[in-house]
Amino acid sequence: MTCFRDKEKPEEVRQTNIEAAKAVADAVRTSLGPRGLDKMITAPDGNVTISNDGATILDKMSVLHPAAKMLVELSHAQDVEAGDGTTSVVVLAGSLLSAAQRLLRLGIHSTIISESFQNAAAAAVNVLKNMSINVDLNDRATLIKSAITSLSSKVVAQYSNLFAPIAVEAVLRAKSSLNVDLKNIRIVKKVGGTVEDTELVNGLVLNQGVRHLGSIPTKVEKAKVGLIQFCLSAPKTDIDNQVLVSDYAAMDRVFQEERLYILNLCKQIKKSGCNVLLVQKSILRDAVNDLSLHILSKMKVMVITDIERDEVEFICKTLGCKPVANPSSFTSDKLGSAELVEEIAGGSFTKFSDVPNPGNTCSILMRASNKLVLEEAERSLHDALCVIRCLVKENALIAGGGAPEIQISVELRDKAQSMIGMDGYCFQAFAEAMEIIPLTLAENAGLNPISVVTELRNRHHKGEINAGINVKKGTVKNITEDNVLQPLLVSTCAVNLAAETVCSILKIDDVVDEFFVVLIRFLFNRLLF
Amino acid sequence: MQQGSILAVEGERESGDAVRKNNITAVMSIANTVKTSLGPEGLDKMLVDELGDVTITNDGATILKLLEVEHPAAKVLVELAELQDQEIGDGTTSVVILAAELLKNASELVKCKIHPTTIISGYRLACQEACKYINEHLSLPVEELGRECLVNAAVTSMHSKIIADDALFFADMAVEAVLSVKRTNSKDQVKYPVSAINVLKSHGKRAKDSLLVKGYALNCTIASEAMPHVVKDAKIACIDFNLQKQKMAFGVQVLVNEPEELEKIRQREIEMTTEKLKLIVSSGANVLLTTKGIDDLYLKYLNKEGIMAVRRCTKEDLKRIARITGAELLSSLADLDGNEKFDAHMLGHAEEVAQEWVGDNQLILIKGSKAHPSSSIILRGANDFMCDEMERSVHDALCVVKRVLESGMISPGGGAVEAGVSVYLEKLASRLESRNQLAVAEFARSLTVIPKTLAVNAAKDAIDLLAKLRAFHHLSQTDNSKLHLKWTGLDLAAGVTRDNVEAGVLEPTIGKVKCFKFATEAAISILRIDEHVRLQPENKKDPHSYQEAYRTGQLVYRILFSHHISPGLVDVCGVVMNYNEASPNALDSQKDDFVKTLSAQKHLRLMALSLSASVPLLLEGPMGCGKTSLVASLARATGNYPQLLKIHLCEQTDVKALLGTYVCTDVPGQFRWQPGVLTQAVLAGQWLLVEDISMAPMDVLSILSTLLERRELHISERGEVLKASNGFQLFATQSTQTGLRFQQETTFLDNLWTKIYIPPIVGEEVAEILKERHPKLAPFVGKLMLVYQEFCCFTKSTENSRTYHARDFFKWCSRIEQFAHDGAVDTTCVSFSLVKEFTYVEALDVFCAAIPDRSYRRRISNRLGELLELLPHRIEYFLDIYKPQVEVYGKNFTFDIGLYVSL
Repeated sequence: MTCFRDKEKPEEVRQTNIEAAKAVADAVRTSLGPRGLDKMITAPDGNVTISNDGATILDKMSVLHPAAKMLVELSHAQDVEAGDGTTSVVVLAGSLLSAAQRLLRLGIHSTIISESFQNAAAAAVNVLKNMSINVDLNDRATLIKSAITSLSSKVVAQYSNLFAPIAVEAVLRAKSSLNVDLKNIRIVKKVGGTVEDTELVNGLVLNQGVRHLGSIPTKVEKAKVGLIQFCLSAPKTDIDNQVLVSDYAAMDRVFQEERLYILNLCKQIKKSGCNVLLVQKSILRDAVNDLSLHILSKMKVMVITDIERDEVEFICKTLGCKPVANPSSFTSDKLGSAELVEEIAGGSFTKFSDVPNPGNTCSILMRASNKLVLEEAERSLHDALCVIRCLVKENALIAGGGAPEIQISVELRDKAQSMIGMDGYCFQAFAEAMEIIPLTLAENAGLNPISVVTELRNRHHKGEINAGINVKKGTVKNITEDNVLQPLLVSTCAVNLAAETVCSILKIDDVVDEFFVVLIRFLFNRLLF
Repeated sequence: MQQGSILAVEGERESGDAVRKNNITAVMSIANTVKTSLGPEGLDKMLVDELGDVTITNDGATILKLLEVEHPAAKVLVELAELQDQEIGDGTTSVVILAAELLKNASELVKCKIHPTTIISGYRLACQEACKYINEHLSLPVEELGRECLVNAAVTSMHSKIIADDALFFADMAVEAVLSVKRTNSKDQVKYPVSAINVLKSHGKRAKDSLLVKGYALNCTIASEAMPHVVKDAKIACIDFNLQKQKMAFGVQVLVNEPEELEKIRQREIEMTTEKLKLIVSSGANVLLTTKGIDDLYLKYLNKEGIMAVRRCTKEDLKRIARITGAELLSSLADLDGNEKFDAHMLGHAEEVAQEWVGDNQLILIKGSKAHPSSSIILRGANDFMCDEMERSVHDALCVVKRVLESGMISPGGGAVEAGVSVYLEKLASRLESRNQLAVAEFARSLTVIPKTLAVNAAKDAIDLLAKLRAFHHLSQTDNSKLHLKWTGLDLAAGVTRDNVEAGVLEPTIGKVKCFKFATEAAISILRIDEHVRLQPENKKDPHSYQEAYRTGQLVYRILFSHHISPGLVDVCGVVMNYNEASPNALDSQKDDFVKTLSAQKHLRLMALSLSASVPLLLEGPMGCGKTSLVASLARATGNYPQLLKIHLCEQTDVKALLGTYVCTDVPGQFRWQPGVLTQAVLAGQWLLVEDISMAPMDVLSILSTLLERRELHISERGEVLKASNGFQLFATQSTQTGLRFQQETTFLDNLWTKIYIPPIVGEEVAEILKERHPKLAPFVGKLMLVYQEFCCFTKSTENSRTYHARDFFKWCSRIEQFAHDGAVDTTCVSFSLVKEFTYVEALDVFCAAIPDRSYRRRISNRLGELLELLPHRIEYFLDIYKPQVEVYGKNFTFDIGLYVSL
């Protein structure tokens, strides 16, 4: 019975795995590089994503084969580790797998291949380190250059002059010692306006507008910001308890008391000098009511409600305020400050600018004319942020445009000549596989890949280690002169991760189908009924 | 597992040229929809939504918003139109047409093996240059032309709309309105917020009776007729709370011991609000506007005080009124001391507040507001559609005036800018050395689509006009003395070219620039896509997969039940169903010649599943796809066939035929109730197959609707309500046209049926059925099918032919077999050639005999003969001379003509 076939022969398994994984690489190949094209993905619910970010494409495109899934995870790993080069790492892995396939056909055992590939990867990382250029974190211009390189392949490439400085500025602000927590960079997306309106806010951007009621101010200068976690509304009785009114005079008192209660709360707030009030969302009762808003508007206090609980930490860190849970402890030392708080774009969000001491945080306000562009812009900016973060982690840059891959290829090929045994073959294959990156770059740019790659080989052989493809101009030249630079970490990470994934795919020699599990479960169910 | 290097995803993948072509086709179809409504002579579209609401418009943004576009690339275009609408408010149609044209021309380049990235960079360059050129050479500052140019720009925008005849009148109105809402914001920028202009619609009178009101028109009436209708020197209080009896908050309970106390509490409840009112009145207010309600109780009080009160105004309106009159919109009267207070400074001021009649409606007009000027436009028109369209047109005009005022630059309309830029870019392209040249040239060519479409829509000679237009622009760009020619545009009424600046056809420059930019951006973002992955909705898994089979239960029964199934049960393609043993002749069921092909099995399974839930079934599918046979087969399988009642519906079907009627008996004057088919089936619990449900008249449908909903049959003649017995099952069939998934016209019963779509029987399955049914014909199946298919292709290409279905083919085959059966020729051993002529005669009978048009019948009969490889003279013989054999025999003069078919 064919359906009970749950095992395949090891070679077959390996072949199908390799084929499936290569297919993933082929799928994203066309979106590599600055001239890469986009993929459009329609999700089951009809949402459309247009992207050329490898990690995003693979994430959205739910692949079936387990080996293909490994490549998807590889791209994820690269995203987490370096944040950029998610497409190249998959393309590289695909190319290494084809190389491995050829070696397997020669009869070399898979463990030997994987061992040699690991060695080759280590050697490649050495090559990369040798050709890297150290960078000073204070040298903004260089940082911006590398951010531009990362942005150049994206939809928003034309705005890279805007995004790159934003990314550099944001990361440097959020930097702490040797790492950067990207959580400290808050990205607020809003449809409307154009991408050019995107800005880095020295402070905070909140996703909601000011509560409009009466004449609550929508713009406050020299703001003192308070964040409260209690409610500005009349207290409610418990379900079991009730307030009893048996006298008509008492009715007046009830209303009077409510007014006084809220008035007191508001006065307390005003007394501390607060003129911008953030109110955390409350589910138990109304966080504010008409009366409290009315009074606060009379006191000229700006009110912003519906602050999410998980936003509180970031807000406090940025504005330097402390959340207040009890009205009595609302004092002036709990307040944060900002030079200017104003509502923008007809109440869709609020901007706190020129915060005197914004901790290690900052906010980026992204605008774009439609949702698709906005989301793609955010992903691109994320990549740029990651690139700068890589530089903070490891202060070294390397040439882009396929130069490092060709250099690895040239050096490893030389090395292979001097080796004896199977390793030599494997190194040779590894070296050849690396050429996929410049090859694809040239192909996507509409250039002749063969002539470009051979010219690159030639130049590198002559010792021009930084010769790469300038995709925009369609020429081969010293790529560092054109400021095409990327962090060393992205390249080393890509080589290491790709090699590791390839090795683990090679080591798989058996796949057990889930069929048995399902059948047993079914029979068990039959027994129960 | 997967083959080759095809990446398996849960869905479909499309890449490279295929996806690009697909996207471009989708975009083109969108553009073609709106193309005819471009320009002053553009035509309108009538759109009917699913609720039956009608919109008549030629505004691109509105059309696209109402179209339910599904293709993602087309959606990009629709979003683009919306964007243009938001940013500019005009030119939505041209932006869509331009984007589509750019894409079309790009696809031509891609066909010539130019990489999309090259085209993209070329388009970017062209767009930049175009915008630069417009700003530098094709625009004029407004100051030079004054107010007249504002009016002209508005007129231009309205030229294409329904109000074109009165464009000047409305243009004046629009300019006036926009100028009146001028304000300066905190950054010292002068803004003209269009949203501050209140546009009201009221049908009645002529469009020309529309009016501009200096002040605010509020679409509400005063709360009580006893109030003053006009208040001069109005002091307006705007409040945002209820003027109703004060209620205690939730959780406060009123408990009284004495009945008098209760009365006092009621009294107090009333008084509390009265006190608030008194506060307001004592401040001197004589107009009270509220967003909430006012109790009748308090209306009396307000009447007494002579105050004009308006309740249930929208908050948006009140905010604006508060702004323009300087009032404060209050949500509470509480002050900072814990008391309630209403100060005179919270009042707004206006010269007059009056309720006036406009058409059938009364409006509150607030005139001469003190704090800020304001204006409202009241549109009049013959009907609501007209008013709606007028509103959109006026909105466009307002936006145009605002843009002109804010940007301060205008450009000539009528295709002048496009032609100018096109000529300029073409020259630029010829100077470029890179591959961009081609893309820039295509961009230039794409721009001509606008003047071209304008001319086509105006029924003018597009080629001629365009040539002239381009010639003028070329002249202006090469010869400095002819510089003024750059304003040349089209005069679509006269069909000539003219100086459009002089003629006053003007558009805001920013609108043109944005239009170019947006169109380029959209074209690029669609062009960049080289792969489309469509993920399958999760619930729609592959029907052949193991998991799916397991889930639907198909697999379970296959493995475990098929052997020991009890005689009372039957396995219908994997679904276990009751076998109706009680039915007469159940056991000796007739020979079932239904061939269960793979797709038939699938349908049977679906039907059986729905049947187990006893829901009424509607089979949809093109003619001859086997709907009736499926039902018959299912009935046979479950032993219900002898009881299966069938009825064909047509327009003439009477309810009586279904329900029954009184008929005369032998005794004169005596009547007997004769139940109809439906009644019979319902009472006896039989299966009923209603064919061609779409043809049924309304009264039949209404009878069916109760049956479908509640399984009840209402017989009004007898005043009876019959409950359907167990076992009653309703089937219906409905023919769709070939190629259409669902029939467009749907009846109101649509939601009550469980629908199953039966696709036409195709290729291999036809052969499978044929082999099964007519084993003797097996050697010829291939040949017969070939002839049939060729024949279908042929008739499809000719005009006025009916379409042939698998059913005709089966009929033909069964006649051939019948004839073979009669022993005339032994089909199993003789060659096909001997049978040919007999086959041809049958084919003539089946396919051609019913055609009334003689010459046409002859044509296709000839073709049929050719396909069967008959010699021409034999064809002639069969068409003209051949007569079917007549055999007379026996005493009763029984006679057979031609082929005798025993049924």
